[in-house]
Amino acid sequence: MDKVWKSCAEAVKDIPDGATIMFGGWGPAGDAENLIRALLEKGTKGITAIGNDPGNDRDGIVYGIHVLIKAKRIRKFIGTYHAWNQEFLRQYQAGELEFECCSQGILAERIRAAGAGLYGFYTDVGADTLMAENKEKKVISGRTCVLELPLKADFALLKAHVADKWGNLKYRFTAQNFNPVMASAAKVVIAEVENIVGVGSFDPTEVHTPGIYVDRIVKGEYYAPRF
Amino acid sequence: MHQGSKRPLTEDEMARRVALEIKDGDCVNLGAGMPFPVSQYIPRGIWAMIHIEHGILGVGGTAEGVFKDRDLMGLGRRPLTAVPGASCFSSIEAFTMLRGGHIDLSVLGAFQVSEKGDLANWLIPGQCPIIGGAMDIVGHVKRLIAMMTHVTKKGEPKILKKCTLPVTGHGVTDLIVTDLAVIKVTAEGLTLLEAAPGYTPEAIQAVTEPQLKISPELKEMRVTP
Repeated sequence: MDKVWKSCAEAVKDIPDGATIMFGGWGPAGDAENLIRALLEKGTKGITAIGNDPGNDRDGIVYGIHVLIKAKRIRKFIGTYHAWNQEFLRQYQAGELEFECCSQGILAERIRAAGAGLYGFYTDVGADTLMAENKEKKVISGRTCVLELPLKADFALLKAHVADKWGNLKYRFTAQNFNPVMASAAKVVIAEVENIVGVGSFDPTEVHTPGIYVDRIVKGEYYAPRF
Repeated sequence: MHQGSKRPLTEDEMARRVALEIKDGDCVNLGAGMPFPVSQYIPRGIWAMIHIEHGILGVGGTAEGVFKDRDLMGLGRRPLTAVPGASCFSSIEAFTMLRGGHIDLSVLGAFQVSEKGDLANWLIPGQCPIIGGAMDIVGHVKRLIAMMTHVTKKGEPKILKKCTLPVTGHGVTDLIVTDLAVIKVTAEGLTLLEAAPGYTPEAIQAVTEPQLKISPELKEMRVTP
């Protein structure tokens, strides 16, 4: 079975307005920049974005979800911090963009829960803070915990280094971050990679994200300088 | 710099001082901003692995020239290096290490710390929240150092009887390192262990809201390598 798509534009052409989309990446590493640019060109708007940070635009280098934020395509962002992204802060302060803030490990686990068939989990993270407001509480082993609910999406736009044609993925260094967990939690998982190899090219022990989770693979057309 | 002249520590000197807290074999998480340079000042002969929550245990430092790699980047687009023995992993694994209590020490920036060790570093009312991974970290790592300037830009104390800003965690801070002092958080309150060059305990107390106990072994903060 060949999951390779011809272009990033083709791979994102059915993402509708108002879709909930997970974006892999942490700061400037591991974001699906070609898929994000293709989505910008396609014109999808009203997006609920789930990701670690909104990306940024610094010294003329634009990365991450910021490409879509700049074009006002994001309605709501579920993430961990604003990364001092000035345009994100402007839209947030102006009430143009909603921001649901979640501690990073809990964001990852909420996504994992959705992908792993769990209906939530209890944690003491943030249980004694403002973050616990409106969350169900339970005392476990003497600690007050809050119930955190799963987080799923319609699409996930991921970036890996290499894929085989069945969608097994391998990442490099810190470009892994949220990508593997997001692969399990979206209805349609689209992975952009720098290289595509034949099935059987990988040592099975080395696969980071098994192909079962991945629906579409596409080779990234252009990688903009990041330094 | 003339020894004994009264002055606060620079950020680099604060990083040097924090690095002295790292013990051989420690796995140390460093927060964004002020804590990151601590990685550059780990004393000779100490084997420590630096953890950063984007998925690496074993950060060396900032990569230069041909060693810059777009897949090995930190906050603020800083290219990083990895030391021999380093490992890279997903966000799930990065936070299993932190929340699961496997990390020996975390150094975080802070807006305020209370005399009970409450730490506030995520929300200034009316502004956009900034958690990152802080709530997963506090209360779960074995030891937490809050690293910050002693007072705000307006000169107001940041070490308070009770935090006025929303807290990130209650009773989570073990040690406070500022540009003026090293202060230990104990069940009985705060103990001044070290003061910046030329600062008397009275001068530190004047910019600290809760009552400080003075350690019988009070020392000057070490500012030279």
